[in-house]
Amino acid sequence: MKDAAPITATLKDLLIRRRQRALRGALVLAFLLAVVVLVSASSGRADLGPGQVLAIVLGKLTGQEHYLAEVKASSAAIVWNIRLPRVMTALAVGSALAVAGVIFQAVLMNPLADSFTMGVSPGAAFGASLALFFNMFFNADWPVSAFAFTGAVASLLVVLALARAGGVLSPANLIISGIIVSSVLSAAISFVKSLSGEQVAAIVNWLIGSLAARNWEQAASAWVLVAPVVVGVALFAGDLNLLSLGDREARNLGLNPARARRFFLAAAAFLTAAAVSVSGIIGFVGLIVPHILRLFFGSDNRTLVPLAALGGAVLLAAADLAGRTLVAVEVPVGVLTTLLGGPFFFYIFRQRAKQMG
Amino acid sequence: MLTASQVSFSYRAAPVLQGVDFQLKGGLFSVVLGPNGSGKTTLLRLVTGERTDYAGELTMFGRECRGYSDEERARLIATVPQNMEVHFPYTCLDLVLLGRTPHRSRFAPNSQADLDIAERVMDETDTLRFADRLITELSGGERQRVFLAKALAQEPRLLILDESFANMDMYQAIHCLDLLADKVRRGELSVLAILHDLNLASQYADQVVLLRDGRVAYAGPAEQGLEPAWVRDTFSVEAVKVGKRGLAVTAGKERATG
Repeated sequence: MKDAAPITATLKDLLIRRRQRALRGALVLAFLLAVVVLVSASSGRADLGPGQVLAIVLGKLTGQEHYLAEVKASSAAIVWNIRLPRVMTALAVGSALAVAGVIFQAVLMNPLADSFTMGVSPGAAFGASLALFFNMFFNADWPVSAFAFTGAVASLLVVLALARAGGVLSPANLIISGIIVSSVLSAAISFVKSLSGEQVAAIVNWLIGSLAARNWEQAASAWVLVAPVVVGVALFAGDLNLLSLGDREARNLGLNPARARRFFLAAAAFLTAAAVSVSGIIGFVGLIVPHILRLFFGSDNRTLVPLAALGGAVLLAAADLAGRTLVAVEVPVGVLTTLLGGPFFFYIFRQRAKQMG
Repeated sequence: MLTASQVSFSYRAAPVLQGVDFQLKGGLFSVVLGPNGSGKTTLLRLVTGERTDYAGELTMFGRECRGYSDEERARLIATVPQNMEVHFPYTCLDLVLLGRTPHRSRFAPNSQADLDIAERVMDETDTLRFADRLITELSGGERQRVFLAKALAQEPRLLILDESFANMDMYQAIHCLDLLADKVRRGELSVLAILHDLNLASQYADQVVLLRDGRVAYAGPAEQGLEPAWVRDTFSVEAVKVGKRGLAVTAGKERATG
């Protein structure tokens, strides 16, 4: 028993070291976030210095005109009305997608799961296509975002119902049901596209996923929808750890797995729906961000969820910035994330194969 | 501690347990024995609350099994699964500390007491040196010891083993069973185990429930239950008594009798 004390100290040191590491990670991500926002607000066709951007933000936030005295009115309009709402939308959407990814992975006990696996993104895409189609050909005035949202939630409900019909609501049943629903929905989307004939571009553009021309109203609605859910999920993230070990273990440790799974799936579907309804389909953020973070900070979902919220925001804002500044033509951010996400996914796949030996 | 009275259970139409009666005393090492398909695992599923749709009465610590909430049950019993796959690279310390979940409030961080308990059980199971290692990097036997540590960190009154040490080498399995037998003797917990190895079962069991085709063939003290004759009838293999409580399976029925 003599050497028991130093061992406890080591276990405690282990925990403290890990917490400090996570804290440092959070600080780095927060710093990157600030940088990305600032650079996003300054770069573009009209290049402005960060000083000017800060002056504009301060002036607008405090309402004190003297900050804006040095700045051209057109610059202020570009920064405040165009660039800032766009980057603020990117932050909310990125957070939502990354946190939804963490949830889907834990609940389905599969590090490769995301909102596509559960049919949520395809559901949103189908809802949006339907609204766009009716708006074009029947002069309807259906709100595309609301339809995307409804589509996401409805497809999750269908997936849950199908999975339950297959017996218990197990992760395996959920994945199979998700694949079934996803494939049916992709076919349905193709059908709507083919009916649209030459006007298919409107649907295609929406499905690609883009953050161009977002206004403050959209940014604010994204934040209002996303922030409370992310905070709620972060508070209950300990339960995600239990769920990720499987139903039996979760129950052994005192968690009702069915109830917890419903809660988290609803939260993840809501986050995805909120993201998709404002930005269209943006792939791979929910897959990449949790993966990178797990490599550096471990798998404890209590640290993973807040870090994913930060990391997703940084990644999507940076991708959007790159998409609109690096090349002469603006690349929609949905295309960029998937273009980069594909090879990255392959890299993860290789790493895993190596680990398995 | 655990009392069954006319417990029956079926999956859809297939009856698995039929009118099961037994009474297991607390503070002992109890073993459930029987061939494949005799209903052993199902019986454990009723105890752990995985299935509640059974008929009859099954009481644990004086209360009907299906009456416990998941939280209440988790403070009383812990289970070491047979072969658990972890899909995420948690550290072993992460996992062992998860065992403290039932005893702390949802939002509370790990206390010094939690850490002390984790340290003690990891020391007992010889897993302290894996504390910072990833569970996905360990061998099957090492992983099972981490899960044993997690279950012990739960400080259960009843520890349930479902063939938990089947994939360990003999030395490790005996080391773990010795540890648990010691804890039982010191009155720290009771054990309810499914063991396939009749040799080990006979060494460690204080009391046994022998199941055959979903019915209780014998329930009571191990010395009277683990008779070579019963082994022959149930498992179709020959066994001989070794020492006071040991049982050694010799060879197939045909060869032994022929």
